[in-house]
Amino acid sequence: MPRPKYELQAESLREIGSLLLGFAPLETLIRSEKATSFDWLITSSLAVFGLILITVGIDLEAE
Amino acid sequence: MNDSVPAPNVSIDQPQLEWHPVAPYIPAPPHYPAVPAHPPLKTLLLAILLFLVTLCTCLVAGAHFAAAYAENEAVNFDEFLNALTLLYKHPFALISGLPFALTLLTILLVHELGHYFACRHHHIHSTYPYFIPFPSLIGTFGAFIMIRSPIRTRRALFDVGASGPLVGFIVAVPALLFGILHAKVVPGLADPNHVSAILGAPLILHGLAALFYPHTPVANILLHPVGRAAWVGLFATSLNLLPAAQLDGGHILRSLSPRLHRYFSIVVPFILIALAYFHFWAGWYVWGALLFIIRFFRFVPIFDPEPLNPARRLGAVISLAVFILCFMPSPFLG
Repeated sequence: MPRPKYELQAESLREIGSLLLGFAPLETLIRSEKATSFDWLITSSLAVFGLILITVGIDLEAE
Repeated sequence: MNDSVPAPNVSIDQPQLEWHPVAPYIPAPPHYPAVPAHPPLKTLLLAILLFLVTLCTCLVAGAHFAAAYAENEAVNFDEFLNALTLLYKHPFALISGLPFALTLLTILLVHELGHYFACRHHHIHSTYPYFIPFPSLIGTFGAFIMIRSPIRTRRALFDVGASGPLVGFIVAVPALLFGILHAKVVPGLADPNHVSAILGAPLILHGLAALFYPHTPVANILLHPVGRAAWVGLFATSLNLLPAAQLDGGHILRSLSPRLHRYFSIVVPFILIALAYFHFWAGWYVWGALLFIIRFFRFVPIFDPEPLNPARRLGAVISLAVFILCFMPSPFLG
């Protein structure tokens, strides 16, 4: 039986979000002493968009 | 001649229409048939979890701001990273971050609840406010709600868009006033040779600084952490009021003129990217790209010929004034 469309969307959002969050080298950045503001910008953007997508995915599934 | 009036053709034995205690037909409200149910419990738990994590990251940021304020120093990325270790080394030391964290979270929460209750007032289905925690200098990347049913009238679009920033601004201004009344004047505070991050000042801060600290450069004023939280709140308000796409400012502009909204949604991303290109703040690259991308998301059309009433038009002018007062081309320098 095919899964509902919203379930697939929610799962995709969560997976893309996890991927973005995983790519964001937060720990390395925090430990690094030579991180520039540009490093912070890229890492934080990846992490924040990842977190937002995961949140939206969970919310969509719960709805 | 028969003058008698013919008897009406009604028999008492004829079956009568049944009367229902609940009327079978109730005219629906003009656009929204029913009050949406509250979002599911699972999403409430998710919202609470994100709020608590954001409280932690804001406490770290607040502890750093409190330490900088106590030692008459500007904010510093390295010191902030040291403050992060307090989370597991000395969690109780984070209590010093409460004034900043509670003020900021209150501003963000009333902003989002403004949207939430405007949605409920207009029978629009929306999620609970979700906070975005992040271990950054300001502790969070704000909060958002998602609107799950189409907005069908200009009035509703305006109310949903304007309610958040206006309510947030009303809460942020007294906090900023408190912060500037308890501020310290520290000469050389914004010396780029000694400081890793210089925070910009919106127009409203320039005005208050000129009022309470005449002849003092605003860069030398070290705000109390409560005032710094208000600064973050005003920054978030200005970002939300950018007149483009699905941001609050975009909703307000679209409720006034869909045509102008389309035009601004194309122009504003390029303006932001130009600001980043000319070294005002590299973060504008991200915002420009984001607005450029969400421009391609589908808008549900509004078939509502009725223009906004004068009170809401006045609200739109006030929103524009709030945007001008809060916007900073260079929120972070260094």
